[in-house]
Amino acid sequence: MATHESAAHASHTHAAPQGFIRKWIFSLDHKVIGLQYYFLALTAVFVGMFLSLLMRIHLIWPTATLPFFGEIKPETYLSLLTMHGTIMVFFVLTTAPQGGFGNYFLPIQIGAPDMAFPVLNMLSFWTTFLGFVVLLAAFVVTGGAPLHGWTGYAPLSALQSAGPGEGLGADLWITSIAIFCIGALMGALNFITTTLDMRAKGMTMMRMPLTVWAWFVTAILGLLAFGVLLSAGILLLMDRNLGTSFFVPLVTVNGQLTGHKGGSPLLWQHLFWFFGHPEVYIAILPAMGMCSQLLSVFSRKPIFGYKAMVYAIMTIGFLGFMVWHEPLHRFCFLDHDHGHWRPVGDQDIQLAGHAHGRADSIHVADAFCHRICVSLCDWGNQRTVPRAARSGHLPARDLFRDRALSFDYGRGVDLRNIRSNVLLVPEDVRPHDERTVGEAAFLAHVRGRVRDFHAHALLRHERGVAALLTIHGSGLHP
Amino acid sequence: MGLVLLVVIWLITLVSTYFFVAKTWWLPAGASAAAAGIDHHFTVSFYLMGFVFVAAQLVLGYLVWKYREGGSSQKASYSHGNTTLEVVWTVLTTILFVGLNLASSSIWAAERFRAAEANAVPVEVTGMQFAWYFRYPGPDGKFGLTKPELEDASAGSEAALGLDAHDPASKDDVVSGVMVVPVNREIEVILRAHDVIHSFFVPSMRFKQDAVPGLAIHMHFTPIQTGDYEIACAELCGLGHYKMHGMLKVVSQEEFDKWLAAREAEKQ
Repeated sequence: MATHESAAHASHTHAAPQGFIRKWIFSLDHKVIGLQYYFLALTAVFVGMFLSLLMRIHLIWPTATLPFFGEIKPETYLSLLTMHGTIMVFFVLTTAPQGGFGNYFLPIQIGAPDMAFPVLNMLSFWTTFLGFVVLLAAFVVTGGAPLHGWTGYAPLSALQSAGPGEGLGADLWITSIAIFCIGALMGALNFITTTLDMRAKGMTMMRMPLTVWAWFVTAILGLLAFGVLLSAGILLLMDRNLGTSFFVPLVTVNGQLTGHKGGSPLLWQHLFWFFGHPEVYIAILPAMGMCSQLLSVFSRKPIFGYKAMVYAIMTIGFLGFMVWHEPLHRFCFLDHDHGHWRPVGDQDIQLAGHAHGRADSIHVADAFCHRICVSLCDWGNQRTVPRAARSGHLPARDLFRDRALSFDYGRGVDLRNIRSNVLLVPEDVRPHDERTVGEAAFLAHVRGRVRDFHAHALLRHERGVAALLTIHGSGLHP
Repeated sequence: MGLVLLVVIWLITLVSTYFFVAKTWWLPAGASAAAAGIDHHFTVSFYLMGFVFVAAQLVLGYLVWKYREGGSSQKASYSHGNTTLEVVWTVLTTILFVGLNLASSSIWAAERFRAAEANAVPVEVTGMQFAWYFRYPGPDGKFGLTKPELEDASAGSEAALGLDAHDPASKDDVVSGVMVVPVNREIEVILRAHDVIHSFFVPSMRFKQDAVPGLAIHMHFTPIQTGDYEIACAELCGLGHYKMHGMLKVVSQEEFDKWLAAREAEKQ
């Protein structure tokens, strides 16, 4: 450990670089890289705001002709919407709080000379920058920017024929996101290593400022989430350009067969929201850390309930993942749990605890507003699991049995309804008997006996598709 | 400064609360059997959260003012926290959230996991860029076979769905561009999509579910009031998403039977 530390330190005692290019472009200094990230985010936020402005102009004067721009057509509006969302989520909300503030302050706050891997740090910034350039390029290619929204739901995002902008523009969009993921992964590695390995003597984990805790947990979230999104992006690119069908079932666009078959639109949503839900916390956790720290400093008091805050940050991170299927409810999922809002609530209240010190607590109001609003908006998506449906026991051989299974699930639970709610296997690879695969998926759920069964279901999905393709290759809509 | 902050915090709270209390922009009246339960749950969540929100903001504004810089002569107290307080608010929020979840689970399950009644009217709803088609199985109670290669969107109706005329079950299938259903009967909706994801949303019925290509999603609702209701696509589905409307006509049982018979006759 001692040699490791001294070696690590030796590599960080680089002299201050002279000259503009060494200092500001190929910089290895965490503060400069922090500023680079910050200014990238600042540029992105202005681009995003400009797009938002165009959308609002269109909403107020739908037929107005703008100088240099012409009339904003419906497809242009959707492109603006897509690009605005993507820029704001990736290049502002993910970039500024973590890449910008984190890079600048984390080493200072834990007494480290720099980030653990300065070259990797430089690379992660320039990779992110490249991602931004590729994204903006979508505006100038034939067909323009994509119109599938920032969530890029397949099959809309996977089919070139699904709309204007779904050609090269959509390819650039998904490439940009993949590049961003690589940059974010490198950044996350750096943050985690630095926090674990380069704290000054005496700076134990439970003495770290809450900002550092927030950046640390955010980095862990990023490491897990961006890897998944990267692979999803690669699969989507393959669907779009190599004729694979990961996310596209047998579909027709305007009555024309697309040549795709057997994919699952829900698979994209799982992979996307496995990034997308933690992303909410990737964006908000650093801000929460900063709120706590600033409140504590300006009210001249120690953190109110420091340990509880640390555990709340960790719990938010953990639950942020566990509820990744929350946004999928309208599509078909069983479970819902707003449990992850609870630790967030705790944080808010603890922030309020500071308020009886000094007056710097307007953020508390923000935090409250945010939580209450989101809770209200989500009122409809509440949790439910048919308890009776969980009590079934079945041998494995029944999994792909041909005929409908007759079970008494009690309380009149209808297999058909449950099927459509757990089903990841698309209809077009289903045997004629509509029920069997649905049951297979359902039974996978029952047998798995895990509430968050989707990961299992995904595995079973692959096996199921493989098995079913051999059983029956061409079942169409019944 | 403390006073300004207090005024701003209270003003934001009051103004935002006003818009909700005055119902300046509210839900359309519910017209399905489940609407009352859903609205009730909405109202309960709304008042509970509203109460917590207003109370928290009022206290916050007060504290911001009371402990403003230079406003109070007493020294700031030194505290690392208060375990009792933390346990209390953690338990309270847990009870609130778990309670709301439990209260709503039966509402969610009722339209999804509970089987549709035996005499429910089955209607297959198909979304495609950028129209809704509604199919009724006819007297035989069976939906005929559809084939993607037979689809012809420009021809509309049966052809748009790719209905296979060789299948005996498809002979009496009725396809309509308007969703006509009888009042006070349960409607079993079978949702499909041809191309991309669409979302079948009828605000007045408090009914919303995505139509996903490759899946047939079963849900059910019971309209309890006759009238015309808007169906809107609620999932971004491409260029014409903004104009992807449909119409739900809820009529009496006799009118429904008459309409269906007329459509059958037209087909022959």
